[in-house]
Amino acid sequence: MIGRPAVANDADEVALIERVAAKDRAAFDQLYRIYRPRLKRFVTSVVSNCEFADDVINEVMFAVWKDASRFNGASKPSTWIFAIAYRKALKTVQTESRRRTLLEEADVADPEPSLDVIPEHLVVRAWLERALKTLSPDQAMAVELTFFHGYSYQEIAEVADCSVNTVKTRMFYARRKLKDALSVN
Amino acid sequence: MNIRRVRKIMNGRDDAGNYQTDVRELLPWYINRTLDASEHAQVAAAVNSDVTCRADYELWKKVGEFVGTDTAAADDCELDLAYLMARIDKYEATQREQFAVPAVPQVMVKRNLFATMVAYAVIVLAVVIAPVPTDISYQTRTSAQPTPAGAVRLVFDATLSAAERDALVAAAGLRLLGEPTATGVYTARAQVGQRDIEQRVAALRAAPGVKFAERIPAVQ
Repeated sequence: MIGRPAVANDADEVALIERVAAKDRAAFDQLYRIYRPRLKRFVTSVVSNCEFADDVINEVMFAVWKDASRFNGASKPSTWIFAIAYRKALKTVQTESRRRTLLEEADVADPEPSLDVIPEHLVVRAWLERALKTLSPDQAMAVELTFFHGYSYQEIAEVADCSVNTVKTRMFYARRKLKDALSVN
Repeated sequence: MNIRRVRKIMNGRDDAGNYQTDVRELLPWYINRTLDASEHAQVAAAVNSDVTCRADYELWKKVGEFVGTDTAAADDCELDLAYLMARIDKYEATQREQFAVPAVPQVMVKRNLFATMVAYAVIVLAVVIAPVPTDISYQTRTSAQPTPAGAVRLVFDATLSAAERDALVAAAGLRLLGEPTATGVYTARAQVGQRDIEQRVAALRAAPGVKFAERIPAVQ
């Protein structure tokens, strides 16, 4: 599937956020259940690690509860929430990369499994999975928002708080990385 | 104007006849169908006639199909949600403590008992002795509370559901502030600006399910 997953429409989500701003717990519960699967995918793609996704989602939704009254309707609810998620995820990536650097100095990483042992029909899948992990958080975010959430480049620029040209440049480098990874494998 | 620039604008190709990077960089959004008609047509032409562009298209298509597949396993979120709600409870409790009015110490209450009784006596005397004014102005019970500038007071029909109520308020570009008063009066505020507020209030007044809608002046 390429494109937006089926979710509540924007008007419904705006109404939910307004109720959350009025401290309506039932509305928050509903909003959480709508966004959790979407955030899980998005955050995992940015932090490249499922382990941290739940913590990041927790932080994102806590920020939504606290700051719901600041949502002014200038953007779509999903753009607003993904922008929060992107900032939180980047923060986690920075913290984690510092921690990992310290650990790697003291340890030797396990070698990656060879693609030779993977059945033929799964090779492309395995390649893509591995190639996507080589993308930077910025590039991974753009790829994920484009192909899973069906965002336009203008909407991605809004989430990342950057220009549309920056989004295109990130995709340009993402393509280059993916192409390189393909030629290696 | 430079001939290269003109050529680029006309057909998106450079001197060698290759499609410009600009067009190729739109491929991901060509695949997810979010480009406008003109961009879409340009990219479609490039994909159909340019080998490099076609190769990039195939690459992105593969990536798109892989990323676009929802592989998420069923996720039990109840525990995380419960944890989050507990965190929110704690946060709200802290907020309430910060903004709570400190309780009056018991000693102070006893000490002020005499003064309170005197005050009551003065009030009673004033009511009995004072002449009755001829021009009495009445206010609603809720008007005794401070009202934000340009706020709107609303009373809804009891048969209206919460969702219908919220939809009516949102449609008028308003947002309810907190809970209703004991008499069921809601206070709402314009989400963006105060423009056309009178018309919005009038529309609310005319809407079925709205028993009362009134804009309160900022200074009462």
